[in-house]
Amino acid sequence: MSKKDILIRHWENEAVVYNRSSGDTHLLDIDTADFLIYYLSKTSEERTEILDMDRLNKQHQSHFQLQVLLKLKLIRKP
Amino acid sequence: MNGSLAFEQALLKEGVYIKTGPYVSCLKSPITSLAESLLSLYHESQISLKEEFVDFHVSIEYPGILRHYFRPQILFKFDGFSPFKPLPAAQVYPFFEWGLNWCIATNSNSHLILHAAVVEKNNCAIIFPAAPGSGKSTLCAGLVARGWRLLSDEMAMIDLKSQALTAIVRPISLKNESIDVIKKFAPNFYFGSIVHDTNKGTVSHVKVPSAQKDMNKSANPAWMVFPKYKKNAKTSLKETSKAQAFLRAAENSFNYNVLAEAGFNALGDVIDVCECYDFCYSDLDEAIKTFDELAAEKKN
Repeated sequence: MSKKDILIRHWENEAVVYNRSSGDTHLLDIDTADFLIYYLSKTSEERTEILDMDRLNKQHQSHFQLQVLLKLKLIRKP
Repeated sequence: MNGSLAFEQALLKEGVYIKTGPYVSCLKSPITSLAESLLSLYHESQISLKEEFVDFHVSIEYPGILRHYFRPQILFKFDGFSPFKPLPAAQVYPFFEWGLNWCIATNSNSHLILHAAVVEKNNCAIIFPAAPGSGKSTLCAGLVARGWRLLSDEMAMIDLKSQALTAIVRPISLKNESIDVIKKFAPNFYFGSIVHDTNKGTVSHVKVPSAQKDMNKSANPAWMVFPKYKKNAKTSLKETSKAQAFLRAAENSFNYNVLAEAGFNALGDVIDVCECYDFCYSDLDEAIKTFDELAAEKKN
């Protein structure tokens, strides 16, 4: 998945994300949507690093955002 | 030969042409009561016996000789294909309207189509997306009775490029208690025959008032309102988040998934320009006052 595979519209503190691959639409809070954009802008190696860091620090806010995005299949583990 | 007899003959043989917004349907049927209903519920400008370019070739016919006489049933056909099971012949007019809804909803991918009523004042339109039974058509009929212009009581047709709402004016479909409510509220409205025991309960259609001009004029979306009729509820109009409104509107769309990216973009553009609300009501006068005030604020 790359940034090209999603479309995002945001209003105030929420965003709607359209996944071009699956055709699914999801509602996200703005922080999770921002994290999604950040994650998708990274290379495969950088994504692996993010996931490795996540394993070490499960209390960080990004951990919960990652779990949401993985569950919605907006990101996949490299 | 008088007009209605000529219409019946045309309905039986070459078909009659019904213009609803951008679409023309050619309808054939041997059922004479259908001719009466069409002539009384549609405006003269919407019906023609002259051959035109046709979008939907439809017919309503008896499924066989037996079902013509014994517990008569009827079939709706689109290009010779029956998308629905037969219904009792007494339901012929609602069956035609439901069939036409299906034709439009499944064949019109130049528009994003929401299951919603649309009314307009001062070129600002309200989109009322809602599930059946939410009081959408009652509210829509009430607003039309008080001077709002009807674009549709069933479908919001959003142009994919301009986001304008295309008018697709047809008789307003009322169900169950709302028939009596609107009869009292708008005694001048013309009601078609009341049909009992349909899948949706008791159904009747209301003719759009002749006073409504600009049958085919599109309008710009200004509000997206999710209505809910609740017995004895106090009238309340509460702002709802745009992102939530987006998802709820998409859930009420006939072709959002088919249109994919184009649907996402069109709906996003509509949400951008709309104020979004949840609306709960039980009193129709108060409901109309609420929307009149909203329209007045916009005008100023």
